[in-house]
Amino acid sequence: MLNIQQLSLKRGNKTLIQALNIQMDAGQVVVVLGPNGAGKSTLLLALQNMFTPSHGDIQLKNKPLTGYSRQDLSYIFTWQGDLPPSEFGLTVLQRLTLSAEGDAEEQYQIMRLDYMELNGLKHRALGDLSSGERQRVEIAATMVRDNPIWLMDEPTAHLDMKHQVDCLKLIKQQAKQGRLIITVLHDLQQAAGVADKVVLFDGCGGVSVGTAKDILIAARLEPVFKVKLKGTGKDLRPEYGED
Amino acid sequence: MLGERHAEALGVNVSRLRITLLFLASAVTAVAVTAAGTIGFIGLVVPHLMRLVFGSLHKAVLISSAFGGGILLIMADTTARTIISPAELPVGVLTAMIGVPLFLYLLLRR
Repeated sequence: MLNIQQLSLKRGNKTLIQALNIQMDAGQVVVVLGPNGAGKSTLLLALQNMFTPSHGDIQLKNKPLTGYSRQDLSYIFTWQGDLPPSEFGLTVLQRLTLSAEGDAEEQYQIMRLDYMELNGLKHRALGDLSSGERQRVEIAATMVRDNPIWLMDEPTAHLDMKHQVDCLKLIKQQAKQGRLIITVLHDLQQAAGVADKVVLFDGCGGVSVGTAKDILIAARLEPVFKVKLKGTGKDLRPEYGED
Repeated sequence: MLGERHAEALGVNVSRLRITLLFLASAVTAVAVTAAGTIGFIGLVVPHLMRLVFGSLHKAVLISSAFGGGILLIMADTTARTIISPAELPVGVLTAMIGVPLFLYLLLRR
């Protein structure tokens, strides 16, 4: 669905990505990993033509990405980015309506938004909610727009454990139904749990692509994140010192 | 309401919309100034005040600003006509006298 050739991204003088090649298909979960400021969010923007690459080619359904209009792309990609501002007094339902194509209330039923347990919060103002509750609204907003590709930037941020699990289950289940989900995550267990493919940024422009098994190993992650890791496979976890 | 990036991701041509709105706002302002003359600070200060009082919901700010602006202008106009009677003070001078300190206060408060 998305075919990326020799993609390079630069912000100012800093090279974020040097020559990334990756093919992503419907039904996959692609996890983007890397240190802060490495360019993970910028990659998500570039994929929907909201950031201009310094070099390279992105093909969406065998057509160059730049050949699509802004409007077309908004019906292909759903972007879950930072929490939007809450000071404008929007209610949860109004915020969802902005993302939904039709009536959010109707979509609400169709997509079972109570999945994120928002039924009780429907008419509350965003400003009255906690960060975690607002994050749940953003995930619900991703669901109401029925697009084939989801670009998610740390979807589990701010969430409590139950909603993190719900969110990751949702990602797996939606990929199984044929969506392509590209998500930035910071937690190794979460990444290992959902990833079909992992894109690892080293923070200096280098990017490695592979399966979770190939990439989520201490030998690759330790030099990138500069932490000590222990365990193997899905048990891989950082060492905090005393044990 | 959601910020520029969210708007763009939802298919809004942000730069074109910004130019359109700028043009429309200029046109509306031009009409108001042509009809009523140069009375400063009402439009600058009243919406900010109303946002402080009623919150940021656009519906509330829009409606209360229309009424608040009208009330403030009538008060200023009446004062301007009577304060140094029989002479008349230009109403713009009075709104500036109220508006400047108020606006400075709102600016410096942040």
